[in-house]
Amino acid sequence: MHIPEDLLYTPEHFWVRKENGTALCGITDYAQGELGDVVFVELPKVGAKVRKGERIGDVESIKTVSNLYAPLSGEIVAVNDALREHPELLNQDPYGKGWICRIQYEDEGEWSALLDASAYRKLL
Amino acid sequence: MRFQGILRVLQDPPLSGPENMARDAALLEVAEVPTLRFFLWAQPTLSLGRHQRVADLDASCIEAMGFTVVRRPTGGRAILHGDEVTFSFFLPRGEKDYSHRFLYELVRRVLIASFEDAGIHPDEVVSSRPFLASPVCFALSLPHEITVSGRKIAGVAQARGWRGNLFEGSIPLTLDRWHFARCFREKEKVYTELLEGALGLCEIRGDLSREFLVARMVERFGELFEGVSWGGWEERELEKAGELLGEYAFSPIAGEEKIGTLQEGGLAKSRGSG
Repeated sequence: MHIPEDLLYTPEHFWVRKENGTALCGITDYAQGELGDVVFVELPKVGAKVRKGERIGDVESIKTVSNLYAPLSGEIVAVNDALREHPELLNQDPYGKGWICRIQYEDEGEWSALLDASAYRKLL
Repeated sequence: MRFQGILRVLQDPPLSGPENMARDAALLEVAEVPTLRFFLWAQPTLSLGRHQRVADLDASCIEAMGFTVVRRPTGGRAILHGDEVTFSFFLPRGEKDYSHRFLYELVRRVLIASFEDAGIHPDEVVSSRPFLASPVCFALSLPHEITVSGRKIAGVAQARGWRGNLFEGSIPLTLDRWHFARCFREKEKVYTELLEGALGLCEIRGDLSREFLVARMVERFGELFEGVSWGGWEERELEKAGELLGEYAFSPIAGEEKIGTLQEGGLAKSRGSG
């Protein structure tokens, strides 16, 4: 199970990377392993305003729908459209081609509540 | 294993498809206690998995038969609800975050124990059936499912939120395969899949009653907890169900029209999983 040291995490198994004033997000390697083969991804809408902890979409694996929750408050400014046709990218490359969305975050203070790799590892 | 707390058991009167699914969704969103819910359908209802595509449906035939169509908050493929035991089971998230596969296996074992109590003996090994392209839940058997003589006797799907896990299950007592198959464009194919892949419990044990099976399930699910209490809905749960009702109203007659938020995935190129 891969847990990159340079990312931050939520207890709901999202990873977050700060990039140019935005937050790039996806699910962790642990999460994709627990889900099994992902067959569908419902992505958030670009332009949607989200609150931290709000449901922004879901993924379906074998007969299980798992909700996705915003790791930070802000506006969805991009989603990974490739997941619509290739949901398996979540399994194959969760920290790369399987990214889910990019959020223009609005509250710098919310970053302090995210977990570093060591704290996330302890949760598992 | 045993979870902390008392299992609340709910028995609902016959409700419409959207009302039933909104109540299940409300459990996932606001319930605070483990809950086993049994419910009935006011009309014959075809339920679709949350992201299942509608292109396989024969909308005009469904309308002519007077069936309601509804989306489930859980995954999987279509089920025609009629003469069956329909249940949902909500398990709040505790200190330990159990994987969805672990919980599936737990529910599977509880159901098998209930069936054994009723004199029905599921297969020890489930052979996967090659109906991967089927739009029908009961045409597909995966290793974690429950079969008798290779034919599926229960359909169970799951939704996972931050508050907990919701299971929805359908256990047919009898199967109306012909009307079920008529809901789809490829009627003969679906009929054959249902004939070869699915079994109603009364086809195994003709004298089995709904009440007997429900009683066995209450006892077996109850063994996972510190006790069982027949209870009622909390007011805020029903309020939430009312808020969610619009999301579960669905008309296949409207074609690709989106109603509420839940249709979006189903109308895209979804790949329902089973």
